[in-house]
Amino acid sequence: MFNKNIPFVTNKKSNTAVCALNMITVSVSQIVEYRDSIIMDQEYDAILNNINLQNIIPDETLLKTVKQILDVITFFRIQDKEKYFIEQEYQHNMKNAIWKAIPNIGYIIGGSQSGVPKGAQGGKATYAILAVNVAVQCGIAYMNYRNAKAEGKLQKEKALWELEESAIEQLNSLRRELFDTAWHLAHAYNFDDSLRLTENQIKQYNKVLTDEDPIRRYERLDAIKENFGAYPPFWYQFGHTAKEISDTYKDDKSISEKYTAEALNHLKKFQEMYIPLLREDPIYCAAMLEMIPFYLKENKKAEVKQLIAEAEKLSGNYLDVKQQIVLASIAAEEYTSAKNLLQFLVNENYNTAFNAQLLSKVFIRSNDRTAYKLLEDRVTLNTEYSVLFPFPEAGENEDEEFIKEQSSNLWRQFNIFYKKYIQFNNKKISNLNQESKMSSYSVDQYFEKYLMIMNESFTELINSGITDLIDFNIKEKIDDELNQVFLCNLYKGFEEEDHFYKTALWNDKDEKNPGGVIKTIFDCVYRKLMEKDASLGEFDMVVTTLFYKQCWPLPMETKKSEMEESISLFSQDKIGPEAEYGKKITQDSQKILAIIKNHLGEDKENILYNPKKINQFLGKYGIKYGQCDKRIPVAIITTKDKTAFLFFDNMLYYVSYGFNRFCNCYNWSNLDLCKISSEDKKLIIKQDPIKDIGNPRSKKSPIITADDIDITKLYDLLEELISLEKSGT
Amino acid sequence: MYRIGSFNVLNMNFRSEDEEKKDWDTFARIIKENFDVVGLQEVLTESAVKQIVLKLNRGVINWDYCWHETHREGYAFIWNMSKLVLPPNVQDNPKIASGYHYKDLGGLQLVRPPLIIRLQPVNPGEHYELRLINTHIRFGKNSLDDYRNEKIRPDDEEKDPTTIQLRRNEHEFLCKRIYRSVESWQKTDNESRPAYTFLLGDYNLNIRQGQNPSPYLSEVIEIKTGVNINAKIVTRQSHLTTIYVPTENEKENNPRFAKNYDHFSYDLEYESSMVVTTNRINTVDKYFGSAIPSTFRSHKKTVSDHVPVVMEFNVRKR
Repeated sequence: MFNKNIPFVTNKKSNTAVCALNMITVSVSQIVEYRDSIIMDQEYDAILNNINLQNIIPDETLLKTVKQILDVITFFRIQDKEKYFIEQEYQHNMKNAIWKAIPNIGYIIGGSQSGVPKGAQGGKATYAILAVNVAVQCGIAYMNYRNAKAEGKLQKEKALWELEESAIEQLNSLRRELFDTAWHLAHAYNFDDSLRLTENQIKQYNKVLTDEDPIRRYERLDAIKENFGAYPPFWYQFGHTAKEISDTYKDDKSISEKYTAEALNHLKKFQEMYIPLLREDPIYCAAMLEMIPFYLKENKKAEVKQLIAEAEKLSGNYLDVKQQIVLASIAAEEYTSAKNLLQFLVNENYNTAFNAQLLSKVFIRSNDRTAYKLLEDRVTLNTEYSVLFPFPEAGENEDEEFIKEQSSNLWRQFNIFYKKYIQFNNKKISNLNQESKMSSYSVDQYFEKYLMIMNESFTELINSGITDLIDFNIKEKIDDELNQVFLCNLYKGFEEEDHFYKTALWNDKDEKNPGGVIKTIFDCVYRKLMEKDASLGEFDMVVTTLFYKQCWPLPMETKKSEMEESISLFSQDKIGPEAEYGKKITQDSQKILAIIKNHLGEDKENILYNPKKINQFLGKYGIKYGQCDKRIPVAIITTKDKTAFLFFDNMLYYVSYGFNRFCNCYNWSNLDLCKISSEDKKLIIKQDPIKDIGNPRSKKSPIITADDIDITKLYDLLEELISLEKSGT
Repeated sequence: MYRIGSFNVLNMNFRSEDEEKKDWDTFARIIKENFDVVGLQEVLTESAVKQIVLKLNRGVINWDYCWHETHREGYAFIWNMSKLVLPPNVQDNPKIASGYHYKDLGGLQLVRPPLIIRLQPVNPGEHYELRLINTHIRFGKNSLDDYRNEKIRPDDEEKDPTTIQLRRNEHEFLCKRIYRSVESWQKTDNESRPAYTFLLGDYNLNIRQGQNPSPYLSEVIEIKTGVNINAKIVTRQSHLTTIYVPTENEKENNPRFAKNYDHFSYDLEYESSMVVTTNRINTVDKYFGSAIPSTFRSHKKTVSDHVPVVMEFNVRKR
């Protein structure tokens, strides 16, 4: 049971009262604290609107305040459409994480015969267990979002989801009222007032939860645990953090084992003290689900079954929870319950392709041809091709068939998408063609305008809902081999077979360099996608996997030798002293510039600093940061009339790493370079980047990318720094 | 979203003078179609505002009003009860501002101390309170009767630096003293609704913008709300709102919009967290056909020599 020093009441009624009260106050505090409308929505759905207050605490003042809180939240709730995007993103992320860990979806079902992943301990872990582990690590949407939020991963969305000031003001005033009016409950229900969470305790708890370092978070939670005798979710968080540590240190047996035991202890404690105040409870489900991998590892099927049943009982309408239960059921070889849940999820249109595929595999496994046929009819209704594992005829291997089928699906899907995209632009492009002929544009001018049209219309395309025409869920995982086959086909389409693309992309130059224009377009598309990542989860798979990630048919031969040349140019003897000390653009550096430009692709927008591309560039050719001991221009800023280097060891380095020694504080999420004080500028140039290179990056120093800052200002700052350094101040 | 209006209704009373007989139906239409709450200035008798509310409530009783006299004039508020109500358990609401020390005004008093009303949304999701301060800033240093009897021409007042300074002082006093104190009034009962405070009315001063004529007001007035905390009270609505109709002797001039006197003032901070927009409602165009000399004349005769202004206020940003 509980530690002796943690007070807890045994009287059931007062126990329930204090737990409910704590739950409400923490819930409202978190809304105000996080200032995020998604979290507000989650709290509304999960707790505030779900708690059966009237039966638990028939206290009129409290009820009135909670009703007011609910009213205010209802007024400020977000649109269903916005919620849909968040939901999509979560589904997409989880799916991707599972794909990353498992070579083929078919392997999840089929028990241990289907193969044992490399490195699995004792040969007992199957792919199904691996999938459960991955899914549990992803968490449920409720926890997932706030973890990401706490770790500052949602910078871009921040503005989008930021709760309106007036909502915070109203809720904050109600929160205070809650604190003011609730104390008398302590007397009415005769519970120890120390069990009631105070404003300060909640504030501290919220703050601790946002600590990125799990070990420190764990210790901080440990320090305040005495206050949380009547707030079960605390023990979930405590256990969750312990599990996070054991996951992080899975290679270190002693640490991992210690925290695994702790995690299980705390989660069990949560289960013990849990009072079912809610009709459906995602936190309870998350706790049950997090315990499952422990038992799976020890092959304790009965316990797993029990936990699955517990989670399912309170899963209510949380489809994400149900999704995890499915995986756990498969891992525990509970195929009947898995089948029922899968059927439910497919019918609810949740992660349809993924779940339908799993379901088809279950049907194949149980040789249920009728059920398979019905499923096939249902999920292929809107598409002309099957997403399911084909039902094998005698002697066939359904996995092979599946891959074949999916690859041709992708090819068809891309065609549809691309044709739609071009059709969408046809009028604008033909106008542009007319215009360009009349004013005899240069290729470059044409290009620039063409890209502008494509870029703009991509946004339009998305807004017009044209994407509904294509079921992007179909294109799930493709391994590298498949990509190449697919892309070769695709490339042929441009080169020979389909003149549709060429006529659409009017450009004489392109005849000699087929695919070049399209590559550039998809670079733009890709950038757009990156910008819109949150809301375009369904596009991500298609465009990033297929059209960007090293799969475009680039003439690799010539690229490689060029790269070799550029790498050798980076070596000590090829960089002249001028470049090394004077930061002038020398012949050599210009050569490097040309090569990098060539590699990165010349962008007509004002900036070419793309962290992804640079990482790709450095990583692909084996340059480690530690080796960057000379002036390597890793970024080129191309404005309309100027092109300049951005040296790795000055600008990027300083911006990313050096600022933590500054005299003044800057707002990193919205850095205004103009506001960097002159003393800090001097500090920048005085730093010795070489000394720090290769050292692990401190978690606290912010990494700033071109997306975060105004690039013209960066350019100005760079100029200024260079001249400052030159003048020797 | 709430539409908060301000309207100087030019000596509105119930006397039937042939020359300037008010058109109550038009008033009712203007209010019904444009506002959720409107502050009126120059309402001389309660029966006049009652007459409008009577017209508004024809059929369904939806509108409530209040009227208070100040210095031979009166202020009124008319509001839509299906959207806004007087908060329960608040004493003395609405009330005329009183109890202020006038030493900042050089010993002078506000010529017409403002009328303050507190309202709260009917929608339970909107857990806040609106506080509206209805003002009619002094015109000159002379008595109203002097203008009425045309002993003093309005233009002469505009040229007199002392009277302009007096108007500015009043504006400043309204922001620095009255706005500040109304904003910090006790919350209602045991509730803790946040309050949003607005000053509105006929300021007899223009915002320096575009072709607007002088005299000008200070668009931003800084007030002290705490130790080292300053709020900026900003004045908005820069369209012309008064109607100029030339006398017999000035026939060469056409009637037109002349001054930018009607405004809203509020804490600049509101604009960063809410949607606040202000505008003029061209009732000459909207209710008299088009803005031609004859319609300007009839608007002035049957409605007012001002057109109303409106502020749209929404605590939801998106």
